[in-house]
Amino acid sequence: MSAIRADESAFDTFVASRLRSLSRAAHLLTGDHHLAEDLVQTTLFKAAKAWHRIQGDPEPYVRRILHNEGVSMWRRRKLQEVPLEYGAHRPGPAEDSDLRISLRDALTTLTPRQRSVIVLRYYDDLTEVQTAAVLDIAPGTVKSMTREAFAKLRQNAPHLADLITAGGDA
Amino acid sequence: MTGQRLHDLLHELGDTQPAVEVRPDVFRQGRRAHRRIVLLAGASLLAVIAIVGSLATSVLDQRTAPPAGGDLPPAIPTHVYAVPERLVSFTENGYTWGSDLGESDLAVGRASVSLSFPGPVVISAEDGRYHLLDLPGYDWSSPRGTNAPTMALSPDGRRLAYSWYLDDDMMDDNHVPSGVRIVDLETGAVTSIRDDRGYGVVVEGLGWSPNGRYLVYSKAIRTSPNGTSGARSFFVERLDTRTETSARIDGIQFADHGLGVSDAGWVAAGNPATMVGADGVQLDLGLWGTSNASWSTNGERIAFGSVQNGTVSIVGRTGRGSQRTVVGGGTVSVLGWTPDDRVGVLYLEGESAQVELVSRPGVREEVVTMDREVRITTVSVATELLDQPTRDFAEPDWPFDPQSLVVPGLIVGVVVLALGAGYASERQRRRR
Repeated sequence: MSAIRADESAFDTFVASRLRSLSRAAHLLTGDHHLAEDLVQTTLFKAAKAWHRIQGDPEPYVRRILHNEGVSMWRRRKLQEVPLEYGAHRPGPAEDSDLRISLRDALTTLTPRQRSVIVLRYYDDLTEVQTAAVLDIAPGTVKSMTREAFAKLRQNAPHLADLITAGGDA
Repeated sequence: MTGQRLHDLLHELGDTQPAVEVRPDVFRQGRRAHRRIVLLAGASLLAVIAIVGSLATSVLDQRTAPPAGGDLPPAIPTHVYAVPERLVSFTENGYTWGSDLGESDLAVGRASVSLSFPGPVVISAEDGRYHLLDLPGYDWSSPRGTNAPTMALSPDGRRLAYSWYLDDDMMDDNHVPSGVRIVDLETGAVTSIRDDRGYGVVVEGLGWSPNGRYLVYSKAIRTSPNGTSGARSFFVERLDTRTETSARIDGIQFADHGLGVSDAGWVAAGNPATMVGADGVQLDLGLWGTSNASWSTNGERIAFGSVQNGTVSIVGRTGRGSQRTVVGGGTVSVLGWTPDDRVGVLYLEGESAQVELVSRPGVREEVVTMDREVRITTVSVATELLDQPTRDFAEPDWPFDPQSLVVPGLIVGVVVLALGAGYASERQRRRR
């Protein structure tokens, strides 16, 4: 029983310290507060289930769950929801003050994998190798997915071209 | 804008969002889910074991269970399986069935086949079950040292005659209880025909008349308490089962193989083929190399098996009209005549022994196969059932064989060890 209590204490400590970061990443991945809440909840539930198997820092493991679950959630939603007309999602020209909203909307036009790559690379500041490790793909794939993500953003949100070009080159 | 600008913008976008609320019991929910998975895996493993076990049991049950339809007529099995010798134990009192294997309740119902090796066995005509009989005073030593039947099933399969020698009765001077016993397989009642001469008698070559009234056999008086090596004074006897009186047949001194007796009480023996009529006159039938004899139902013809040449010979009781049919194999044993006047014969061929019905020279019909381990001279058949359709009964579920548990035992052992190692490893990890 003491081992279980210790596990629970470690889990609670991890959640307390990382919940905000996980919530932000979930927001960026889903673009929706409720979906982000579901995503984090599911991620932590799965992490708790496998907590006894986690050796060392749980952060990479939980982050991997978050991104994989984000993809799974997107797939489930695709089956359940009728997508909006393209024009309704397409971000229009925006003022600088609305740039964040434009970026958020533009991210929703990406595939979940592409979104994960962008979030991991430019929000969590992971290297290509680290990103590849989290998503369990090759570093070369990270590079190509980043390129494809920016190409799509340039096409769907031309007013973000400067941002995207610079980011893509970074 | 730069990569740093994208980074900043993403942070601004994320930082404007409030942290999500997490249920306080998420950890416990997760652990409960984990335990459910562990329990489910354990239950699945048990279920798989149970399913495999039940399937195996089901298969075995199907193999031993009577076929659907309890009103099916009695039948001879399509295949007769050899009874494993491992079921026999050797004790200070001689051979016997292994512990708790023998059936002392002899009311087992009508039988289709009897086997006297490695011990007394009858196969039920109703459901094909093998009954390992615990016959009182059954002479276990004789079937191992003789070519002549020491047990014979009546033509209707309702009675079983066997050689009896020294059961629970105490030996009184030189008078050893022995002789012939007849079991009524429907009631379990045993009739004893006792002969107290010498150290008892050895009874061999048992044969029934087609109507089941007469029983004929050869006798040898034992001159020592053990075995037949000291036997002397051979003679043949005919028993009238209605009156339970026996008569010595002087025309035939001894029969190496089975004897035959007609409904009229006439006796025949092979090697050389000999017939003794009601008047006691012996007639040499002119056939050599013959083994056991069997009379036709009308008493007009006698069928003989062969010792070596794989034939069945049919001859009139006057010695005329001899017909010889090659049926294959070396030793051919005549089982008896069917109600429609065909001869059932048993012989070895290839990997199995076979029962065939011979109606006339060259016309044969295979009806039953037997494991090669079955000693054909120890088999008798309810001949009244020979012309009925045979039935497929699955191989019996022979009692426990330690060797059969070696592989499953190893598998279970490995699984248990693996589970134990996993559990110990998990406990060790938790302690750390």
